[in-house]
Amino acid sequence: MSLSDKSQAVADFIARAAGTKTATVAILNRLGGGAIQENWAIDVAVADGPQAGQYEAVLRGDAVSGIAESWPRAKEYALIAAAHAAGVTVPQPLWLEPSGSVTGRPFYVMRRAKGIAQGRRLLRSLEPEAGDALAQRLGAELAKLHRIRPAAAPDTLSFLPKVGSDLIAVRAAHYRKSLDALPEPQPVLEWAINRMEDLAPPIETIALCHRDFRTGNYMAENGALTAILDFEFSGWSDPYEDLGWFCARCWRFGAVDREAGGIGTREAFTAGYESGTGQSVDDARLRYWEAIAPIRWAIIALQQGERHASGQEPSLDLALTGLRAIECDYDLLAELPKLKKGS
Amino acid sequence: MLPRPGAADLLKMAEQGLQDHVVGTLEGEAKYHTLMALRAIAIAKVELEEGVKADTAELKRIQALYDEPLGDLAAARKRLAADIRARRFEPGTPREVRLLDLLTATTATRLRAVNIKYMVRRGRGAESAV
Repeated sequence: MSLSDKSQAVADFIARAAGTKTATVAILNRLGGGAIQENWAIDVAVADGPQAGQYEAVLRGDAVSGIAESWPRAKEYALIAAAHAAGVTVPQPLWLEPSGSVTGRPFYVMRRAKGIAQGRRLLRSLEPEAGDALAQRLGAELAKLHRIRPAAAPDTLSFLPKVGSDLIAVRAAHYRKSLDALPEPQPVLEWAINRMEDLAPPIETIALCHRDFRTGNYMAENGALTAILDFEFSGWSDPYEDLGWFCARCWRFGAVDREAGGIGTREAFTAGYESGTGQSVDDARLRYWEAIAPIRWAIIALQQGERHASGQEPSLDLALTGLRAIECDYDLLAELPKLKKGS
Repeated sequence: MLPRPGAADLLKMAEQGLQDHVVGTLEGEAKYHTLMALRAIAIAKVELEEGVKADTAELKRIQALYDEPLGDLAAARKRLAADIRARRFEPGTPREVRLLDLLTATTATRLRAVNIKYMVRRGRGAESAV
């Protein structure tokens, strides 16, 4: 998607959505990150009406190709709006264009957060104490998101598939189906999925989970959180999935000793979460979800590689992402044998 | 096929040229894309040098697990994945230990080719786990 020649169309859409006659849009640049979506920095001015003002914003639209697990923009907009309403630090969602008639693909506009998202850059910018404080804050933010439960969820989230105590069986079936859609067999992942089923602790709670809550998917400025991003995979799940995903070795960006996202200690992260929930984190449950996290990341990485290999979206970045599944295989072979049943 | 210099030599020279004359002059997106290209070259070099040998070794390992001919590597991998899914390697049995040895050896070979640094940081964790 190139926006450079579509600023007037976007401005006209925003004017309509904001209930005014005139809006102006300046397209600044495409933002880094977002392997599946395209993010553009834009400046918006709304002349009058209830949303009059200047907006430093991001236009987030679908990329040329995607992967099956990723929600389309309208659904991601509903998820980010629900998180925003629950007090989670996310960019304020502003306007949704679900039809694709304005730029050729659906998009939404949200406030632009300041700071760094890119994992390795963020890690380099943090002193250990600041990293622990950020990990603690992220734990507390996650607790806010997990307060959204199926029984009291807004109607806008009714599209989310319901899950229950059979979550692991459902997940295993989904993963196997995903593997069947890939061109090459994956013996390590087949073995890991079996172990995921065999070692699963009972599911006790279902909440709205980010499902890609990790370093790289939030922004921080001077060590302070400015926004949690990328709700394209969110859905109902066991809250421990988010805790385990954040701590998984594959998301520490080389800082393997800083177990919470490569930025801080596991203790700081769980303390933040506990401060938000008022309940102790079950370490064994967290470690189960942490150990199985590479299964899902490997499948996503393979699907990304296939976007390139199939010719849908030729990209060296996607091709190399596909090869990252080998790192996940290695992690699974190293970590899963250490887990005990119910731990 | 090409006379000397061969594909491996060409890749080596391309890699050297980018490292010595290009990377240091770049910033931002251009540097990012050049580093990605260098990574791809490094992986392709290992594949050219060791890919055939690694595939042969993997097929031998799978055949040893079954003690019967399984056809080519693609067929052997397919059979192995299907049998794992069908739970024909019961956890905690000597057969599963042999399976894990096989999977670990194959994965370690692949990881050495695509990201040996990851393995170094891991301290060869998977090999010590089985």
